[in-house]
Amino acid sequence: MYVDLDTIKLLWPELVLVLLATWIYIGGTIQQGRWWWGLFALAAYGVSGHAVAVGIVEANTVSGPLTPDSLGYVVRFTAIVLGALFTLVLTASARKELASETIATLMLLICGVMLVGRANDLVFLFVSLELVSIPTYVLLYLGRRDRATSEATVKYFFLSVLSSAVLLYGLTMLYGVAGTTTLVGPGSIQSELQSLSVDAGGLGSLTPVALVLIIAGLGFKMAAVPFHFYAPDVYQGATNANAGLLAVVPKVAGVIALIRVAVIAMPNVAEFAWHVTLVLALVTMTIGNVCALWQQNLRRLMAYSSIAHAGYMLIGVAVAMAMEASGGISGTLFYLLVYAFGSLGMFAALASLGSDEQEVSRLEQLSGLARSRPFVAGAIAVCMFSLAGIPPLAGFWGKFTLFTGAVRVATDSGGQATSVWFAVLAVGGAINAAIAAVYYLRVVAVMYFQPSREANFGTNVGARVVMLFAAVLVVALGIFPRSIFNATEHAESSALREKVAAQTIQRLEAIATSQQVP
Amino acid sequence: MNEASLLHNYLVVGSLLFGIGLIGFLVRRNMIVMFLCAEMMLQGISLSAIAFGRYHNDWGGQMLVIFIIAVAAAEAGIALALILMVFHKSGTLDMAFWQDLREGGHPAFIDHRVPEEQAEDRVWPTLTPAGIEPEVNEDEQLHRSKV
Amino acid sequence: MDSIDTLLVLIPGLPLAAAITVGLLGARVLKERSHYPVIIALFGSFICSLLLLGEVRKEGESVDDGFEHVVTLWNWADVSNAYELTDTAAADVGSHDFHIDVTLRADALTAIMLSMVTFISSLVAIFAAGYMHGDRGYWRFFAYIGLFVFSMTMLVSVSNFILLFVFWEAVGVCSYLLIGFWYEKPEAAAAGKKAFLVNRVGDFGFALALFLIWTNYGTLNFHDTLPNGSTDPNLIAQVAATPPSEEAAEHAKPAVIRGVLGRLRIATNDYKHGNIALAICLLLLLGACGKSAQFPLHVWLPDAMEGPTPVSALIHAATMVTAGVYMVTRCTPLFMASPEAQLTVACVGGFTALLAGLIALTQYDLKRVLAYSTVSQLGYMFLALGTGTVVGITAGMFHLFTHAFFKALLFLGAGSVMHAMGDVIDMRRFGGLRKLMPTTHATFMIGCLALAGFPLLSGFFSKDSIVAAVEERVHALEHEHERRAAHPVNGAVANDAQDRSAEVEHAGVFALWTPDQLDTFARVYKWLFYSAMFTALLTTFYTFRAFYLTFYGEEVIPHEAGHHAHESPRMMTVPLVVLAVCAAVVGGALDQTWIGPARTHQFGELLLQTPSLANGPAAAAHDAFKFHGKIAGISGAIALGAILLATYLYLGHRREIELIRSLMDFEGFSRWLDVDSVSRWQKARWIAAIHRGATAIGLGWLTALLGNIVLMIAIVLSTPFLLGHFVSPYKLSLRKFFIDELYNFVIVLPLRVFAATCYLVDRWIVDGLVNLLGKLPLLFGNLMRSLQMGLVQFYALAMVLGVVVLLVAKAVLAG
Repeated sequence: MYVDLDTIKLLWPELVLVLLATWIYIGGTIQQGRWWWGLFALAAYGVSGHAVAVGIVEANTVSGPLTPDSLGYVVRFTAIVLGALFTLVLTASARKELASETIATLMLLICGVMLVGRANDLVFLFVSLELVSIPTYVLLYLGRRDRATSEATVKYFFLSVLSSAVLLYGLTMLYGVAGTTTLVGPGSIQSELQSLSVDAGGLGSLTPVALVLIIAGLGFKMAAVPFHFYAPDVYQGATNANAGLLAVVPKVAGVIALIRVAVIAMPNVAEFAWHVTLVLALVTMTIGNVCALWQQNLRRLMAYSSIAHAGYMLIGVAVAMAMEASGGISGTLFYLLVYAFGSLGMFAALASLGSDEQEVSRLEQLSGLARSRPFVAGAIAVCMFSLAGIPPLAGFWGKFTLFTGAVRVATDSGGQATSVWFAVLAVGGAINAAIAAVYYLRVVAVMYFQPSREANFGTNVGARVVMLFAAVLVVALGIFPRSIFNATEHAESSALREKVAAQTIQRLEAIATSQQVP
Repeated sequence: MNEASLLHNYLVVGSLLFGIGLIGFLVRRNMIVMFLCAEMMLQGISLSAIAFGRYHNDWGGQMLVIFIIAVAAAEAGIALALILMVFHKSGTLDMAFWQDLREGGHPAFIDHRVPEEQAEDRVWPTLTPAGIEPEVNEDEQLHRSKV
Repeated sequence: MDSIDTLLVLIPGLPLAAAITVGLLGARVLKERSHYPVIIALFGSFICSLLLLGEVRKEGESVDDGFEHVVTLWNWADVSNAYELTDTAAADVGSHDFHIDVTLRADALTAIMLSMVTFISSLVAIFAAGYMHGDRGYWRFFAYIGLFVFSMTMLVSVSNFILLFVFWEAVGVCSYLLIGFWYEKPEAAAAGKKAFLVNRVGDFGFALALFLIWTNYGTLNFHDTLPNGSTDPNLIAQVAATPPSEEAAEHAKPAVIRGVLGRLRIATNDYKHGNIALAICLLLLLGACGKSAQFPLHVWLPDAMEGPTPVSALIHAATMVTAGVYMVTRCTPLFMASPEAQLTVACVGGFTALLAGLIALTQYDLKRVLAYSTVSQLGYMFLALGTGTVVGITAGMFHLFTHAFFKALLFLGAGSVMHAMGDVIDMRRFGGLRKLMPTTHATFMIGCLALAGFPLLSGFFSKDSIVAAVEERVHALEHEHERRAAHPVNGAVANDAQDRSAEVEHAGVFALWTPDQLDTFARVYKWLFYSAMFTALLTTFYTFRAFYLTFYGEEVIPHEAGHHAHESPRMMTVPLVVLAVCAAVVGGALDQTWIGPARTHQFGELLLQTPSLANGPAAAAHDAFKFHGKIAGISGAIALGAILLATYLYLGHRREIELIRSLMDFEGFSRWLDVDSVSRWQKARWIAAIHRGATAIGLGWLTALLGNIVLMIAIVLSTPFLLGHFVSPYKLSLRKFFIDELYNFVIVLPLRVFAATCYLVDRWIVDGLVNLLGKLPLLFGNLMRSLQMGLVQFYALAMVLGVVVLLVAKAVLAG
């Protein structure tokens, strides 16, 4: 396998980001000033986004480490939009002397997410995930100069290293079983595993182990129970902007990687996989929501909320694992987008309230915000309602599609046990949505029904723009969810096409061999 | 010795390395040792990957290992920088020192108190600042605690 | 025809526009000028109504079976094949659409109601501009008034039961808002609530009636329509005349949707009989009772006097409360199908009239006297409608019409008095106001005379015609009964179809009645006749009692009056004068039969142009309107006598009134009928002498026995009087026959207890469970939270354990 010019063409948007990030690193030593580099980075995202848009090709065959399917495009566009928005937030809130480094590191991080979105190779996937992780350590540390930040960084770093090792072990086993690093396509892991029985002994019996290790490693990125413990502590110690970054970007990477590896590429352990995912989904939702009920620290609260949302996303993943073309992937993607913007809006609003002297981190600091900062309060309320899943906001459609997916599996799948499991999942999800509403609405209640406190809030323009953008997007997606549904459904069908094709070939071959035998 | 049993042996050694590293990661409190344990886990993985590559007669395993080494090097760089910086702040390498961030209302967990190191008058190495020299606060320069 | 369309839209449209204008601009822009848009709009509506009346009258003269014109504004609801009618008349069989058009109609009944409503409301609005001056909610008041007139005009002009119900509720809402207009006052708020709740009971019946009508007739429209919604009468006649084709029969849809009160149905008198008709009518009557304050739902109206007095005049005397009468009149064909229902209407009306008259005798609150008088007069109207003859219905509507004038006049007069007396309304606290308020005094007197039925004033004619109608009914029933007795063979209800048709020709409307029914009905109506006569006496008496207490006697002015104690401003007196003139002449002018047989009952002739009265069973038995000299003489004499009695008692003979009162209150009875006084007789000398004599001849035991028996009898006799002290006739009247208390005890209290029980169960058991359930996530969360101890090694261990658990689970599950 050698890298030809076409591959470089395919990689062009990511290469732009890496090159310009390097440029910022170098230029930052000469030219200081946040907005200079902030606008430069925005321009870089613009160029990269344009390159993605120009480069959309629907190749029918997947070859090499990159897949040009529509799922990848959705992820890349999302990553670029998120990158641009976080650049706005960070540019205004980063420490002045480190602004250029912060921005450039974020660009590398976004580049990592974009690569994860289209990885079709284990090695490529691993490196992409590390490209997400390593800049995150740096960004976390750059946030503030106090003990809490250091502690958060240390915790995140060590646990992340451990989870990387676990993930890598899983990937290695997967490679060992299949004998190839390609995920999907002819002669890939997917087609190798298709016919491989788990219970026949030999290397095949390592597949479930690999699956568990991969879920564990990616579960850390998604903050799924029991790999979630870092999240509350780290969010609490990080700045608001970094906590937002941590809540959104690794989760996107983790979910996409899980879909790419565990859902699409490992067909022979699907039965076990959806059981594991389903249980994890239930436990994650429940623990995230019940713990969030106790929180007074806003970032801790959002951390538990982020854990709970990871649980909701796992519902979609479980649905996708249990049933072909059930809309599980599409639902998960939609939910991911909705969650990303809701969460981003909340953290951007918190960042916009912070000043150099004081950071908004406790719930009571928001009391009476509706009077002192009506716009910020409105944006937070919209994000909270959306995260709680109250119609007609985007969050409602997210939950709606996930739960209907679960119900569809419960009613359409043949097996009695499967029906029961997914019915329990759907009911559990609904109960959790009710529990979650309590703490989201409590935030709204504090803002709207408690007396105003005199607080010298800051004015972070970039964060405010991002907050308003996210709030408007959440409302717009709630009113016109169809446009995004179309994109995610297309992504799902396009991502599954290879799998379906491979299965067809498999079936044909099986028929052929069975006819030959007699 | 056939290929399968050869692979088996390699895998066993690899998993042992991984396991020892994991246990070390869980039981040691020194940050540097913890990181070294994580490195040991990566070595175990690398060994397995190479063994798989040989078994399947595929380059992928070796490629994976090369990337693992590269990534591990990057992580080591970050790790050493990080450990150095936090050591400046705390004066200790004990991982259990970092328990301030936790749920409110629960006491810190201490099973064995490490005797405090007398490090008051020692000069610690510092990293050379990169890029533009940061604007150092005069006040901070005077009252820096650990330098 | 086009002009009728325009007028029909304009009449409700103008008040609505005014209400919206005042509602939007009143608080900020118009403020003290808020009455201008409303008065102008109402006056415009009144002009339009008069024009409409003229048009309807002109059109109606050229048609035999009544004139109606229907205009469809838009389609409101449309459900295809909503109901399948099978067991009914052939023309209705088939699948019916639930098709609700917003349709207005113009016919004589509507035009009369519209003219009356808009006229009274214009005058009341002018009066209110003076009366409400300076009130904080000035603009709000006029916005409500505009809204009310819109709803009321819509109520009388819609051509559909659903819309009738909608605006029935809308006037109820306006009434609620206006009763509770001074909502800071707890009594006003409570009265508004009471009116609303009591009306709900009636509305419940009304709604049920609508359901029954829908399931039995397959439509809720008054008028005929084609399935496509067209209401063109020529087209409908054409379609109805053509026999149904095969194709149409297959579709199983009627060719013409015959409206409940449509021409086609009335012409063939195709109505349900028997229990269904009775149920529909009684439920409709329940609705009417709620809105028109008839027993047993009359309790809200006297309390509704907490609202501003112009509101009492407009809504709770002249217009809204007559909606029930209007509705029953509108549904005459339905009621004609059920004689029992008619009798019930008459009984409810007669009884309410009597009851309210008795209560009004002793009330000291001027407005309450008038309120009970309203209830009583509404009872008269129902009594008239209950006769089920065209003469009776005309009399009822005529009384509604004249009553609107003199009752509005009386209320506005009371308002004028209140205005001068600083909102004091207790008649014991003021008196002798005739010199102070000459205009109010004069107009009030005309109102009283009209209400009392003083000869040649409007109340005289209308009330007289009601009594006459009842009497005619009695005669008709008795006559038929005698005819049947004389021809027993024909009298029995024939089962044979041929006999039956012969019988119908012979017996007219009574064809289907059994002799027993005739007999019973005749007796009941006769009692109602006597009761009506007695009520007329009561009416006159209590009216003049209130009049004399207010305007005659020693001049007393309460201190609340302050410097207000003078005649009201011109803005208030002008409407009084206009209404007084109307109250005096409108009866004699519209019913000219008293002048001579050549003259006609103009009101009645006009009303009979309404299709549902002009045609069908009601019209069949209609004789020409005539003046009943005998009845008029009697009732005139009663009125005069009662006026004289009241004059004698209240002008200078207050002591006799006190005596009557104490007699009626059983005061003192117990004094000479108790145990002490009886045992005192034993010691009387002549009794002692007799006893001594008897003892001397050995009969002492006999006299002792007799004495004891007398004592026993005295004790037994005195007990009711002792009790009577609490429930004497006077107390009964004063406390309104304890109906409110009865409702409290029978309905409100058990419901309260039930509600309290439910609350306790909900509070302690259900809430407890729910709270416990709500606590569970919190407790669980706390448990989980304690794992979050901040130690990296522990977190790592948890992750590894997670992996191990999953792997072990796989191994175990794989077996």
